[in-house]
Formats: sequence, structure tokens, C-alpha cells
Amino acid sequence: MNGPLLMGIIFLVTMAIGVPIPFAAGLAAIAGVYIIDMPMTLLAQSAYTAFESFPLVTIPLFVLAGQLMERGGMSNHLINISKSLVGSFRGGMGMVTVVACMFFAALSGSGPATTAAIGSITIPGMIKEGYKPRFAGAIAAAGGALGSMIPPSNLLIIYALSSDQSIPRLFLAGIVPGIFLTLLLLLVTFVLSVKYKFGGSDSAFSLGLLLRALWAGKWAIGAPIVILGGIYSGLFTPTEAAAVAVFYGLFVGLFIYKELSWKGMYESLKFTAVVIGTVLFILGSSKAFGQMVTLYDIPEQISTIFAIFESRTWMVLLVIGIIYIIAGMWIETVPQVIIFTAVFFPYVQALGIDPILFGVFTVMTCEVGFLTPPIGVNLFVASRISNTTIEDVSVGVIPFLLPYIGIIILMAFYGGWVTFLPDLFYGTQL
Amino acid sequence: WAKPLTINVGYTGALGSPYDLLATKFAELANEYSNGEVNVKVRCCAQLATEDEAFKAMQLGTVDMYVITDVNVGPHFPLFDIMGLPYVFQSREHVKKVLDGPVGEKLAQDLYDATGVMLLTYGGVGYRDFYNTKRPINTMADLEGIKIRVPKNKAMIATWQAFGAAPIPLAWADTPPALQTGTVDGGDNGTSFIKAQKFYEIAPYLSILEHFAYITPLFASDRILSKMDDAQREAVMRAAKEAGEHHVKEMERELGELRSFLANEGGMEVTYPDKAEFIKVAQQVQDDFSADRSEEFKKLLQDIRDAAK
Amino acid sequence: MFGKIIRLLDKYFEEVLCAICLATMSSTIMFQVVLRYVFGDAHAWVEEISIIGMIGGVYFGAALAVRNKDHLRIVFVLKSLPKFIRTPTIILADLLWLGFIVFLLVQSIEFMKILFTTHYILPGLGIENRWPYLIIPIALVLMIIRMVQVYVRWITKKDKELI
Ligand code: NA
Ligand code: NA
Repeated sequence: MNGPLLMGIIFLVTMAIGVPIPFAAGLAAIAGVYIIDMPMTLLAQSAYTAFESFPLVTIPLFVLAGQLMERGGMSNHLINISKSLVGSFRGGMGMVTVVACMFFAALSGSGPATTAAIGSITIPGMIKEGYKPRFAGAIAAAGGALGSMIPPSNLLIIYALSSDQSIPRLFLAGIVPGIFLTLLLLLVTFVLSVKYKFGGSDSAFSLGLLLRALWAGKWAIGAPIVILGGIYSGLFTPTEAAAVAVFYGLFVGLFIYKELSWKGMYESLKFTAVVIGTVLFILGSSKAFGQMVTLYDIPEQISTIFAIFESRTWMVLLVIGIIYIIAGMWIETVPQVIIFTAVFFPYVQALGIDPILFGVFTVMTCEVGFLTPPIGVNLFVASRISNTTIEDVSVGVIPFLLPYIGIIILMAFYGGWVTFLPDLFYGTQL
Repeated sequence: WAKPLTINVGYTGALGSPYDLLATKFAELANEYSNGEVNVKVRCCAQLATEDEAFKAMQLGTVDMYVITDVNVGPHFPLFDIMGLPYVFQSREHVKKVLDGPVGEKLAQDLYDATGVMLLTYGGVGYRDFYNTKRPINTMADLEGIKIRVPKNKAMIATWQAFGAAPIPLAWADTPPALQTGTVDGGDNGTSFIKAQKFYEIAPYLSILEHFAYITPLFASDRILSKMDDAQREAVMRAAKEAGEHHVKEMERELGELRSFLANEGGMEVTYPDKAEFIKVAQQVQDDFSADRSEEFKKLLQDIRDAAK
Repeated sequence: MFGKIIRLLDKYFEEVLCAICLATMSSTIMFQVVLRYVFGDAHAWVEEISIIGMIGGVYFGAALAVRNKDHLRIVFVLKSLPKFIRTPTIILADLLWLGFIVFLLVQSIEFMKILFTTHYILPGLGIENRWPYLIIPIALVLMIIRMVQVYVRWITKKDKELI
């Protein structure tokens, strides 16, 4: 019996009849483990070890911080400020979301954490302004994926450790594509908002109103300043910043705006638990799933098709891009980067493709996996917060995939624009 | 005749890392000595499991073989914590005498009896070299106040404290940005890792202290060993032994090359502090550390020290 | 009296466990920041505690989500089915899902047995890893109880819908 085929069928069929996605992945993993003749305790072990990663704790922490800020009154102030800044424009709040994701991405290494942190604040705001919930969720999901491109980035670190490349170089190389991606996401948000008439109903821009909103919201603006400043001055690490955000939200909500009650704190914790209990929960089964992909040599088998393209590097990169996007639908993003880098990297290196470029390319293509069903963690987070179905957010996110695909194609044909920054800063690689 | 057997051997480092060297050589020799009856697949980069998980996975039988650094064996088999003590090996000859001799043999046997995981070969020895952004280090006094990133490991923290530096336990993922922002001033890593991560682009000073030696033994699960017939097992054992010997030589040769790369192409200022004062302080750390440990632990430490004489 | 305790447990049990786990997780990491700056000190157990807290949050949160029918599922296929096929399909899906939880519980107990015969000392906390691992089988049992509860409520017509 063909293991991967059976796994695929079980996963799809059980999911279609309504088995929740993490459990469908688990059932498929059982079949895979059975056929390859491994002890089933593998599943019990991955159910625990999948979570033994310290940077992962940023996700619940930022969800919690977002909740505390919302219930403690900070989010309202942030929304008021952005309204008085861009409220008169079509798609203003949507664009604020994208820009906020970009800034947040410069703090957080994780795509889902970025969606959680910014989305928890702006999705409710956008829905209040009349944006379609699926669209509001999609903006936060797509913007959140910036979290893995703009440094720091967990995915770039994983790539670096799998391929023995320099983390600082990769981080520098992520900056330009990250900003470019932000601009393209802004463009898509604007065009769609004009088309569907989202936002822009507020009165015209007024400097006085903006200044008043800024003053009233000074403690709210303090949050990004404390977090950003803290990381860049070396006061604390990005992981610790997540906890600082929680306590800053708590402090301002309790003592400054005084809108946070015991009940509000409890509800924030409860909401966070449901988000991670349904979203992060999938890591437990997808880890075993990923191990099966390795043991069945799936990347190895796929890589045989590279021979067809011989030395045409742009074609090889495009094919890898397509493979990564398809694989990213089914495999969780972190194991995907580990598993495929291990197998594809030597081929790519032999072709003379710049390893730093390939790292950025890998992260950009695998990141699309955050945004594609059935296993797309950013989609899960966004659907939770916007209270819509996964199907709905998945449809909403489609136009936002275009910027990703555009950049991927551009990188395949010419990578100099990605590598010039690290080369400028550190000199060309020895 | 047993059926041809497929073995998955994993490691956490990248392709081309010291782990890779051992695993790949083993795969090649096992294939050769078994006349192709044992097919070893090498899985790099933590595809199978991370180092933290791999030992338990071998106890469960969900991982066949894995190359694990000594410190990550300690939590499962506390005697291995000894390898993580500062200057437990005082020279290359000392390492050889301990690991190739009766002490090493007994340790492997004890490990198997306690955990059911077989140590196939100790492999070669590597050193954590120390880099920093502040100043060249020639004596212990130069370490005063330097903030050093350490993994969350008690022995390492205690050692750097004893050396007069300020150890800061930090997750690996947070380290490169922390170095750039000045949250930490330096750290120690395997020499090949310093090169691969291009730390010479951030930290200008390298000190050859050789305070922490590390070994990366190859382990096997009982489950995979019991799947082999006698001829296959013999081939695997021989392959592991010879791969280990090859690894010892290669690691030594590579270390010289790596350090000269860091000094020349990498432009690092390399210092060779006098180890004597460090060794003296380190032995105190060793004593403190073994004080509340088992009798076996104290005995093993004594046996290792005796071998240095 | 007894009924009241059951009602309270029903309403709050997982919620309170989650709240404790998440609060502990946030506080320990914050504590690390403070420790480093105020006392110039840091501890290895911070990471371990916060990871254990997160795992507790995830698994008890997953049990909570069974009760509240919050787990992420694809519903458009189900919605397109006529009612007399839809309900049996949902029941089949739930049985498969329940089967997986029971299977994972059995495997976790097998795994626990191994954890109790071998050692893994968490380096920072100095405790055996088997104790935090207990979260998994406990949460799986809670999930099974909550699943049964969902059906009891449906059969006794307290809830109209299964999903
Ligand atoms: Na980032
Ligand atoms: Na996906």
C-alpha cells in the first residue's frame, strides 16, 4: 500500500465529512506510521515535543496581549488614532493593519503571532467600520505573514541552521523583499477597498483631531514604542517582548485607562486558551505528519524532476516555488522549511544559486502556506478572531496571494535586489 | 538470511557539519561491510527529531540511530553530564586515553544497561571556541563583566561565573540579534559553527580557551539492533568503530583549518590565553558540581582525572 | 450541594486550568526580564515553566473547545448535504475523531509507562519530564468526557445542533 497516497486520502475524506482539521491530520498520520512500521508511541511523543520550542510561546502571549489591550481600552485609542490619520481614505483601516503588521513583524519572528497580535486589535475595528469579516480577516492573515519575512524571523533562522548560512545576513536580505511585499499588500488592500467601498466614511482629515487622538492615546502608542525600543536597545529579546507586551497591556488597562476588570482579564485568558487550543493544537499531529514526509522520502522523489531543467536556474527556482506552494497547503510551515531545505539545498547550491537568496526565496514561498487551506495557521488565527469560517477567510485571502506570487517570480529571474543589502553591509560572501 | 535492512540515521546539524561527517562515513562503511544488505539513510538538519527528542525516541524505537552531543544525553543519563564540565578533558591525549580505554567502555555499557540505548562510537572531539565583541582576552581578568550568551545549562553558567564573566542564558534563536544589539557581548560555539554563522562579521575577537570539549557519539536503538542478524550487526559495529576513528582524525584536521580561516579570511584577532589559571578554577567548578551527585558520578570524575596523570 | 459542585466544575474546570497555565507562562517570562535587570541573574527553569504553561494552555484549551464546539472544521460539505444524511455524517465524523482521541490516549499511556521506567530530568527545574507530560493524558480524558457531554446534551435536546 502506498503510504503517502493513503495518508492523503484519509486526510481529505475525514476533513470533508467534518472531522476537525488537527484530528484529520492525526488520523492520516496513524495510517502513515502503520504502513512504515514504526511504534505508534511516535504520535504520543510528538503530541508533546511539538510544543517544546521557546519561541512558540510568543503566539499565545501576543494573542493575550491583544485581548488585554482590547478589553483595557488601548485598542480603541489605537483605532481612533489610525481613524483620524487615514479614516478619510478608502481602506484606511485595512492599510493601517498592513503597516502595523510590517512594524510588528520587525519585532516578532512568527507569522501567526503577527496575525494574532495585530488582528486581535484591528479586525474588530475593521468589522465595526463595515468591512466584510472575511476581508478583514484576510488582510490580517496576509499582513501577518510579513512576520516571517521581515527580521527577526523564525523561518529564516530554521533555514540558516539547516543550511549553515549566516543568520544576520539572511535577516538583512529579508528587509527589502519584506518592505516591497508590504507595499504590494497595501496596493491590493486599497484597490479592493475602493471596489467594495470599505471604509472612508469618516469626515475629512483634520490635524486638530489627529493631535487630540494622539494625546488621548499616548499610552496606547507607548506599547509599540516600549516593545520596539526594548528589543532594539537590547533591553530584552523578542520572545521576552511578548511577555512585556502582556504586562504593559495589563498595566495600562488596570491603572491608566482603568477599563480592565477581573472579568475582562479572565475572559482574555479564556479567549487565548481557545485560540491556541484550536490553532496551535494542530502542531501536535502535524509534526508526526512531517516526519512521515521525511521517512517516505517525498522531497527526494520530487527532486528527481529537477534533472529535466538542467542548469536553467530560474526554471528550477520556479519549479521549487510551485512545489513549495503546493506542499505548503498540506504541511505546517516550520516542518516544511526543515524537511525540504535539507533535501533541496544541495541541488540548489550545486547550481550556483546564492544560498542567501534561496533562503529568502524559501521563506517567501513557504510563507504562502500560512495562507492556504487546509493547513494554514494564519488563516486559522484570522478566522478565530473575525469569527468566520476557514472557507470564508480562505476565499478572502486569494487576492492577497498575488503580491507573494509576483515577488516569487521576480526573485526567480533576478535575485540581486535581495542579496545586495547583506553584501553591502558585510561584503560579498567569503 | 535476514531481509535487507533500512536504517535511518539522523542528526541536528547542517550538511557538512561534524555530525554529518560521522553519519555519512558510517553510512558508507555500513553499506560496504554488509555488501549492501544494510542501507543507511542519512537525515540531516533535525528532519527526524531534534537532539532533545532523539534519545527518548531511540528508547521508544521511533528513531533508529542518531548523533547526539554529550550535553543532550545528560538529562537521560546523568553520568554524561560529566562531559559538560569545564576542562574535564585537559588535552587531546587525555580524551583518547579516557574514551578509547576501560573508562569509556564501562560508560557505554552503563548507558546501555540504564537506558537501552547503545553507544556505537564516541567519535571525535570538538571544542567550543569563545568569541566576543569587546576586547581580546588574554587572562581571566579580561573577562570581567563580559556578557556571555550561554545555553540554559547549569555547568556552563557556573563556569563562566567562576571565570568572572556574566553569563546570560538565552535561547539560540535570540542570540544573533542579541549580539548585534549588545544584549550579550559574546558566546562560545563549536568552531565550524562560528564559521558557518559568520560570527567573524560581528565579533572581532576569538580566544582559544578549549574550556568545553564536546563529543558527538553515534547511538542506536535496541529496536533497530534487534532487527539485525549477526552478520549485519557485525558489519554495523565495525562500520561505526571505523567511522569513529575517521571522525577523530578529520575533526582534528578541520579544527586547524577552521581556526586559520577565522584568523585570516575572517580577520578575527586570535588569542591563546594561558590555560593553567582557567583549569585551576574549573576544577573547583567540577568539585562543586559533583558534590551532590551520585557515587558513580564522583568515581567517573576521579577515573577521568586519574587518566590525565 | 453535589449538583452545584458538578455545575461549577462543568462551567469552569478547563477554563480555570487554562487561565492558570497562561498566567504562569506570562509571569515567568516577565520575571526573567526583571531578574536579569534588577538582580543581574537569569534562570534556566523560566523557559521550561513557560513551555509547560503553554502546553497546558493548548491541551486544556483544546478540551474547552470540544465543549464549546470551537474546533476548526470544514463545514461547507456538511452544509450542502440534505439533513437526513448530514446528521449521520456528523456522527460518523465525531466517532472517528473520538476514536483518534482514545487511540492517542492509549498511546500516551504506553508512553507514560516508558517515562516511568526511564529518566529525563528537565535541566532547569530538576524534575522528571514525566510530570508535565501528564497534561496530555489528562487533557485527552477531559476531551472524551466533553465529547460524551456534547452528545448527552444533544440527545436530551438541550442543544439543537451537533456542530
Ligand atoms: Na519578523
Ligand atoms: Na497551508
